[in-house]
Amino acid sequence: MYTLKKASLRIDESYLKCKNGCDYYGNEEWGGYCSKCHWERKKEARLEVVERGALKEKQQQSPLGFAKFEEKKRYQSDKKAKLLKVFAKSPNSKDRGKPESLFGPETGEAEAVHAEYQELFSKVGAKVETDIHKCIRSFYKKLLSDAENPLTSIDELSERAQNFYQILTARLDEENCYRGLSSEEKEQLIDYAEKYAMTCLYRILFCPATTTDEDKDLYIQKRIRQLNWVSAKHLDCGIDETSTEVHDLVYSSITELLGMDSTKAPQDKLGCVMRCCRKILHLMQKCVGGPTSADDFLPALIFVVLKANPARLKSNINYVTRFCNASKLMSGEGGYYFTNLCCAVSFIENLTYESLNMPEDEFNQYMSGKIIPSGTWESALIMCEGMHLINENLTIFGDLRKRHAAIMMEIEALKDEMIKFQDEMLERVSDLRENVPLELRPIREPMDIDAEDPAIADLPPPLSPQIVEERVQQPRPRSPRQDSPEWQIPSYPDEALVTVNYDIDLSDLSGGEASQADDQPMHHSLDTGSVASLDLFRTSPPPLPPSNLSLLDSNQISPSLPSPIKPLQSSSSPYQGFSSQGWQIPSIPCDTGTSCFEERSQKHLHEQGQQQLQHQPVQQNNVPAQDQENSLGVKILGNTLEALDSLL
Amino acid sequence: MFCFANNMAREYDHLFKLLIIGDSGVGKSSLLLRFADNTFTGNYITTIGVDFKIRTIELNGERVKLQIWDTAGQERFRTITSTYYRGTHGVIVVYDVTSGESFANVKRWLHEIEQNCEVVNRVLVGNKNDAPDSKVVLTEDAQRFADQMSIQLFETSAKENVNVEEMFLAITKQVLRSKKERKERQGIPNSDTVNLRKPNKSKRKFC
Repeated sequence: MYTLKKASLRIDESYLKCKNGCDYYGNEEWGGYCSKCHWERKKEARLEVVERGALKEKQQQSPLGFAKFEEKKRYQSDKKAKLLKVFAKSPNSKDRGKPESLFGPETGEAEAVHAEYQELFSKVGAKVETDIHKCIRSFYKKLLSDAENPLTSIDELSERAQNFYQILTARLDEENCYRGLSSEEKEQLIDYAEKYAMTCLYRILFCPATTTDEDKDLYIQKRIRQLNWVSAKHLDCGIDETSTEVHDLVYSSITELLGMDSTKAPQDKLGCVMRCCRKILHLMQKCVGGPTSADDFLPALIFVVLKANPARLKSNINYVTRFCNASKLMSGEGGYYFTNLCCAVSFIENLTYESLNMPEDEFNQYMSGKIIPSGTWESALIMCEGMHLINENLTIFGDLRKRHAAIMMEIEALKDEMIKFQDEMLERVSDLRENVPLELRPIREPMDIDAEDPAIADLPPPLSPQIVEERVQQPRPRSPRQDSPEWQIPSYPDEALVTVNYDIDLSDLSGGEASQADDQPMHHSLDTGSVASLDLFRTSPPPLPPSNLSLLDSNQISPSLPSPIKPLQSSSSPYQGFSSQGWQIPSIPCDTGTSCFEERSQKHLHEQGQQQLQHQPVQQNNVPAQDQENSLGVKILGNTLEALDSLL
Repeated sequence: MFCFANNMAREYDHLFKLLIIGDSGVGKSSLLLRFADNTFTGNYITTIGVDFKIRTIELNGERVKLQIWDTAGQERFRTITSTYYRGTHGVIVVYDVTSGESFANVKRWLHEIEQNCEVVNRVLVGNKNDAPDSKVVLTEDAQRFADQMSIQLFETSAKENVNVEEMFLAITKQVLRSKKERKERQGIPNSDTVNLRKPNKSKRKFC
């Protein structure tokens, strides 16, 4: 221990002394001078500020796009420095004009800060708000007048700011109006004061012309650009450059870091650093596969800083170091990450071949641009991007191929189905044709009672009422209710309509199409009705059947009546109408792809056909329906073939 | 943990910042993880990073909030890590009992502390003390060295959770004691925040 200490002293003693040769110790931050000599040198330097500004524009002309931007920025900051002088002549003029909103050009932003903390103020009350604004205002004025003096160094301003934070902290603990506030609220108030004041003072305190911040910015910018060949491998950090997820995280952390320059308040800048670092932690967690330790984190942060090359990096770091509440920087998460960022920057500044574990000449060759390593981030990025795209496209292709195969299979299946359907239909149609040969029947007019009909001739003449008087006695026992009011012609067809309807529905329309169901019975009912009425006129009135019996039933009761076939046969003509309607049924075309529906309807038709075949001897009136079905089948078949043709 | 800045409520009486230093791979992170989350590397899922941890412990009826910073131990970062030391109350120097080199480097780490901090509480920790077969740094040697440097020695195992709690308690006690002593010496009953800042500010300005 003792020897160690001695050794270090022996080495450092002369080095540590002030360069001016006075007996005090120097400091690296002050260029190796002691504080006294440093201030003196600074005063001299400040007098040359304007000249230097003119010189700066001539220096460092890079043709690159970013360099142009850089130059523009420099130009602007030079302009800013000049503006500052103009401003310094009458710093308080604006304040006098507006005693309430005092902060000149930054009023808008300061208002935004105020709005951000609106909730806090509504909690703590107007008294607190007034007092805290009073504090901020007095601090602002003092600092402004200090800044006006070109001999005030930035470190003195920094000390003022830090004093202000301390005084404010003490005030919050002591003043009456702050009593009763929770420590959290106090913390927020201090935070607000810092944010408000710093937002307003930003243009004076950030990268002031009196410091060398700007030169340092440019130096580190150039340095990082020189080091663009440094890869994650050189830094021994486990960033997996090929993973997309990691890529995205690297990009987003870079974005966060770049965002630091666009915020004004120190705590906002700190927030950017924090967000950036948290992303890096996530990233390293993905790469390492476990919690990130500082051993992994710092190299990754260095890598991100190198790839981000944030604008005005040094200025930002110095600004935060000087004007952020020191207690925040010394502890807490933000402080930790900021410290790491400082470490990363200082590593980049002092980076040598040793820190990258590579031979000196190789390092120099890289630095001079003689060698460009193949494994740089950029080339890896391009490669990755390409590979990534290829991969993505391959996935899409695979998917498409799968879908294509599926569609082809479906097409094949459909084809088979259709061929099968075609065969089936042909077979069925031929069967039907064999069983029920197409038989064209004479077209018949719908029966009209008043029309001339051969059947009418058979009817007893409705004449000779005199004879009725004679005959009345004979039929009376057979039909005692002939003259009763129920025995009315219109009522009979009505009954027939109901019952016949029902019968037909059962026999051949179960599950049939609606149009069929609607049309067919109508004809039947009308026909039977009309026929029945005819029968009534033709024959002597039969004994009245029970009201719920159909005409057919009544026929059975009175076998003397003509067979029910006859009237039904006579009603064949209405079916023509139906069949002509039936042609419109295939308005459900085959090519809509509703093959299942067709199949179903076909099946139904088939069943219907069979049923009708069974009923054939009994109900000959179904024959025309059969014809209609045949033609319907042909029609559907035609459509199907058409659809097949179009498909193939 | 993340709303630290807003949570300065009186949930603790003291706030200390501790630093863990030592060669890379000696198990700094594991110690931290064991102490803060009571887990060991291997059975974590939710932990993102172990570089910054907070745990509040109670010591003699006083609540002490510990903020522990992990540091990168690689050789090439050694020169730049000085910024970590700002405002640090205690330093935990870790070596690996199965690695003679890490023990040899302890001297350099202690030297680094001397250069960066004025008065700081330290504790020496030999980690990975769970495999007697591969142990190369004997306890006697380490103890002799610790006595020589007047530093407290602990042999721990983050894996098996041996001595970890004790070690952190010991350094906390040290820090608390030295804080109280300093207070008595200065006679200024200041709040935490001022105490944190003042010594460092003066150091930064006039060294």
